[in-house]
Amino acid sequence: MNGLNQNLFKNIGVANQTSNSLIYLQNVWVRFDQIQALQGIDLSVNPGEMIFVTGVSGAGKTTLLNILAGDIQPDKGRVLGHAFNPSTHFISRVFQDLRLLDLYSCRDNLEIAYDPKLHSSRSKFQNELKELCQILDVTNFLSVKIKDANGGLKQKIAIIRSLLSQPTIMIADEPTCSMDKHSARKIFDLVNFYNTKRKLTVIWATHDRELINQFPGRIIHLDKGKLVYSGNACFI
Amino acid sequence: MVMTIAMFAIAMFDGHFKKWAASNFTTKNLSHFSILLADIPNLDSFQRQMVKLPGVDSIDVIDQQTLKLHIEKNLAEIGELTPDTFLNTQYTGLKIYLSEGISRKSYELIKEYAARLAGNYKVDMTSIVQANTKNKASFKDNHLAALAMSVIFICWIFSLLVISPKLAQMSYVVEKYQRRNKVHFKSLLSITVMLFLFCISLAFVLDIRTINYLLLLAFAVGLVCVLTILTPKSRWRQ
Repeated sequence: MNGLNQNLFKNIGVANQTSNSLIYLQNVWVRFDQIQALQGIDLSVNPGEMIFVTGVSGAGKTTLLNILAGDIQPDKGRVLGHAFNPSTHFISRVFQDLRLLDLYSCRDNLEIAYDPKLHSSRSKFQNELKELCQILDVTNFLSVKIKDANGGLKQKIAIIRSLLSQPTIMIADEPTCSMDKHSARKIFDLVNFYNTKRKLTVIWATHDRELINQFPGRIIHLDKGKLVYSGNACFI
Repeated sequence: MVMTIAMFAIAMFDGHFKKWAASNFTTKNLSHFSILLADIPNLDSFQRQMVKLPGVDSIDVIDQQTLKLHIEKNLAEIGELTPDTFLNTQYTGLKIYLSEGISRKSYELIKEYAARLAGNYKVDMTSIVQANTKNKASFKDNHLAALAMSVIFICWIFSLLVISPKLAQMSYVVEKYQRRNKVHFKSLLSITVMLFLFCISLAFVLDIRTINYLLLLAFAVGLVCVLTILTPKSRWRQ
């Protein structure tokens, strides 16, 4: 995939700046039956960036995230980038529907992220799990089954699971929509910490403009599948 | 998993294991005769020469306790000897097993040779006891085990169908949060291997000796190839 991407970069004559991009979208179009979900999107995601994707419901945010994660292919246009090289990058997602295993406990869902190839020992993984659970105040709820958990707890578990997989890129689709402001703020702080200290590239779809204005990063605003704004958060 | 273990347990117990145990711990299912020797000085040499003989499978030495009881019982019946007589003579009982499929004439030749080799030390020799063909594993004899295995196999397939969506879901999550690929395919492959082993164990239960293992292996390889082509990319299904 990486070799292919490198060749494509050369073949299509993309500028050096974009060839260094983690993900580069060139004139991406996606259609679902009668709905044109994305229209001619050009976007470059650079390493260590924090990008907030905004837009009303149905604007194409989830489709864009799916494209960026490589989960779907565009009908037209190109998706390139180093992010799709599994030896150097790992994309972890927080899905809108969270995709947690209902019949398992919160702890079981988190322990799925334990990868012996990645984590040097089980105890280190457990320490990291414990630390993240303490930060997000879920330590006392680890034995609760997902089917019995409330929306906020589920979202926290999904975010912790994503961070435990030690990704280089995190793509989150409205992961704080069921949370109160205080909890959402904590999540943003945590992700911001990972972004600044661990160089985690974050792509975050949200409606919470009030909150994102307080964080550094780029805002991408979608309207009816078109990218209508890409720039600093404080200018929106 | 429990179903698989249960199947293996039945297969191993009723098939291969039973035969193995029979050959090692209980009476062999071969035609045989016994010879009683008294004060023989070169027992080892006698045994060696007998074992070398074509048509002789093996020789077992009958333990002294069994031998003593047998002699006492038989001699007491004719009232010739008292138990004290037994103590003064070193009796040795040998059970000579004959290979399968040899002719009756060969049996008699072996018996004659044994008698000649033992010479004056021979006290008694039994007639040939034919192998008990009823003990051989057959479909009829093992029909209960086969029935039990069939029921468990059906339950196994049913449980597989029940867990299949969950397996696909779990595989998807593992692929998304661990650096692993083709988890769903690997899971299905493991199940195929289990099924393959089940077929082999079933062959043991039913004592199918003419099974073409090469054909079975080719079938398994074919199944893996089909799985490789047909296994869809794991997707999240609620």
